[in-house]
Amino acid sequence: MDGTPNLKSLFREIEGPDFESTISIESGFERMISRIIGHRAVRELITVARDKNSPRSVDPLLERIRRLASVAVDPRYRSQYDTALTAYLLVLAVSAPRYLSVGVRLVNSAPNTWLAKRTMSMLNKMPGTVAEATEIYQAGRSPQVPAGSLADLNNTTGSHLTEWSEVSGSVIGFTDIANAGGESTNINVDTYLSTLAPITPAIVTGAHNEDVAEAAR
Amino acid sequence: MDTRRYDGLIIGKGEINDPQRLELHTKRRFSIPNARPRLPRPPEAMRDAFDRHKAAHPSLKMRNLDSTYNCVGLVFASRRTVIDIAFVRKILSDDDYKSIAVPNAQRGDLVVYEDQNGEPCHIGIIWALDPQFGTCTVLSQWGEDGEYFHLIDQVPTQFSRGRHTIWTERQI
Repeated sequence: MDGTPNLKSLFREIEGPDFESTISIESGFERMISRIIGHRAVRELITVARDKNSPRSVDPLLERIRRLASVAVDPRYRSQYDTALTAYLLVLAVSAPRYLSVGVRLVNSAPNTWLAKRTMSMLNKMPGTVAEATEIYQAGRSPQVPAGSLADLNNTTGSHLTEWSEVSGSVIGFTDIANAGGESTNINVDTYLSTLAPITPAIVTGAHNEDVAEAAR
Repeated sequence: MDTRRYDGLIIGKGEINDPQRLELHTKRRFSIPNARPRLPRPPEAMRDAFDRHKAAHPSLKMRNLDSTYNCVGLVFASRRTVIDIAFVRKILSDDDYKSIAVPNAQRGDLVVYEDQNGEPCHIGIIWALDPQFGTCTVLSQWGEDGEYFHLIDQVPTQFSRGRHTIWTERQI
């Protein structure tokens, strides 16, 4: 993302009143999210954040989230950056989910947001997500597992968007959405984690199992 | 759960679990999901929104600049909360609303705006009818941008990409 000439202008546009007015007119959460994801500036930012040539391509985006989340706001009103923070979370979710949990933590510290927190809730509570897998696994089976380790597992399937299901014990089956209907990969989490150094906390997104099944049909 | 996928994200149909939500039900006892923003948008953001809409629709008359309810919340919850537009069809059905022809509309009936896919995207209350000039004035809340009196076809582009239909609960 570094060196991309129009990154600042994309940030400026997404944080500006024109962008907010496009979203604030909508009367449904799904419509707002769909409007944000479909916005030209957001699409461009997603493309930039997906740049595989730069291993730290999301750094400027995370830094931007950190800055907005730390801006002081009038305690009587909602943050003027609520919509922009929501957009940045969604950009992370669809382009660099490995770093989404970092973004979520930053946004969680932002004062007086509403849409962004609803979006975080959506991303965290979707059934069948890697987030849920991580939460269930870590809470119930191996509290010592470093946060984000399952996210790293997710990357081994070659896709950010992965359906998961517990096969047995600490074995979790992952299916690459891009190959829905294809064979899943079973991974023994304990064995795999023993080969890994702790990594940056990551991924909080994935796919709804029913949706994947429907796509396969 | 009714969901759609947006670039890999799976989004539910407005499900929310807001502890501040109001107890709302349709006539058939369907519990209407709703959410209440803790805080309003800043006044300058609301004023900016009004200025933009007024520039695009000079006949617009502002009634209120409050962002804590939406169009559905205005119509079905007396401006107390935000109800996702995705639930409008369910509410209309449960509350025995009937679709009627535009010429049969009366004050107090509802107008539902549809998007290009035929899905409801906005709702308002018919405020005034002028048969002589064939005009219809609607009162509605424009998203989080405030509450306005406007001509039925004077709405933001996002509300005017599909048709609009008239609904009434009158026993006619």
